[in-house]
Amino acid sequence: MGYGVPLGKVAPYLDIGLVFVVFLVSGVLLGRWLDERWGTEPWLLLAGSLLGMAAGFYHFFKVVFSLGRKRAGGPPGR
Amino acid sequence: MHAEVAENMGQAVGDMILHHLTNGRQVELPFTSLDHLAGHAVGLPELPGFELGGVRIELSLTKHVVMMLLAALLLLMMVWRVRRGLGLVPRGLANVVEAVVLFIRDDIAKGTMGPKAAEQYTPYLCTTFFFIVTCNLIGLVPYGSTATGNLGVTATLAFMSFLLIQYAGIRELGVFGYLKHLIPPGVPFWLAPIMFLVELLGVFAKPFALCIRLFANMLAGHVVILSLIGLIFILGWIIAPVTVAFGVFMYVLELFVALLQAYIFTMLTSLFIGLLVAGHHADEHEEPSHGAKH
Repeated sequence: MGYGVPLGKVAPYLDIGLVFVVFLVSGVLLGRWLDERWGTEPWLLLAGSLLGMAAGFYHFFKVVFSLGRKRAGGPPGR
Repeated sequence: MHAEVAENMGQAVGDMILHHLTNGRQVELPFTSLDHLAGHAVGLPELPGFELGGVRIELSLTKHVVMMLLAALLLLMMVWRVRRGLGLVPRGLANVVEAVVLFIRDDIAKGTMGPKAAEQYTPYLCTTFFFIVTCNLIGLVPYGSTATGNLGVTATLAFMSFLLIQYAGIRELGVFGYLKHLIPPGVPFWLAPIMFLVELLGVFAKPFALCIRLFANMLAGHVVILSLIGLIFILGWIIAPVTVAFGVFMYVLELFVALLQAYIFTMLTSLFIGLLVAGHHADEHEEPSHGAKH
């Protein structure tokens, strides 16, 4: 394989913080939008924020643990 | 007295940066006026828009639209030239283009989604890569403007990737299988609805991240360069050697970032398609590439 592969392996971790924030913000925005649509302020905003946080942490750890697995050289998936 | 001048100058520099980076109804062109040899703003024609489902669609040209059209034109000319001069052994421009296309097909597409699907989606990946890289580089040419530093442009690019990712997933897994993949295997049943929601949010958040990443990266470098140049006017000419040196350094870094961001956008689009397309028979290949599942 070419030179791009090491960079390709690093690229998803370069902006892990940004991705976390984007998950959180999209949860908040989704909740607010649904609130405005259905007139259920402020419940869906709260639910969306919590969901965004949960999703952010979930994806964050998914990426970080997949990095740890690769570095340890263990088999992927477990 | 001096502080006041500096403050006014700071305001002017801020306005200049904003004016330079935001979309507008005119383009700056060199040598269009005898009074301003350095350049002159030229207004763009206004075209009639139309209404579509209660939403007003503007068709008028803006600075960033012109830059995108320019990028598309440059790419068409490049492809035309490469196609015309294609021999058995590519040379010159054709050689460069072939190297990039091969890189996208073999290293990006095949690495993330396996050889069969790679052939199918390589054209889209090549298109996004070349278009984004051309838009980014046009922003670094004097009188040019960075169309990818506009949230609307990156949102549209991300939206197209979003559509393609969902299309690829539904085509490969079927509607039911597509919904099923949103619940990771081995999750206890009481957790399944929450995991479904979390993964569903991920479906929308990933393209959103694509959009923000490209936009922020392209905007940030330009803000830094323009601020460094602006410092000369705020602090006086004595600072010029330092800021110009830093400005040139940032400019070179921007050249790298222009390529890197186009690569990352292409790579992640390919990766998201690959997670859906190659995910359920991943064991057949070695490791289904980069393991990044965010």
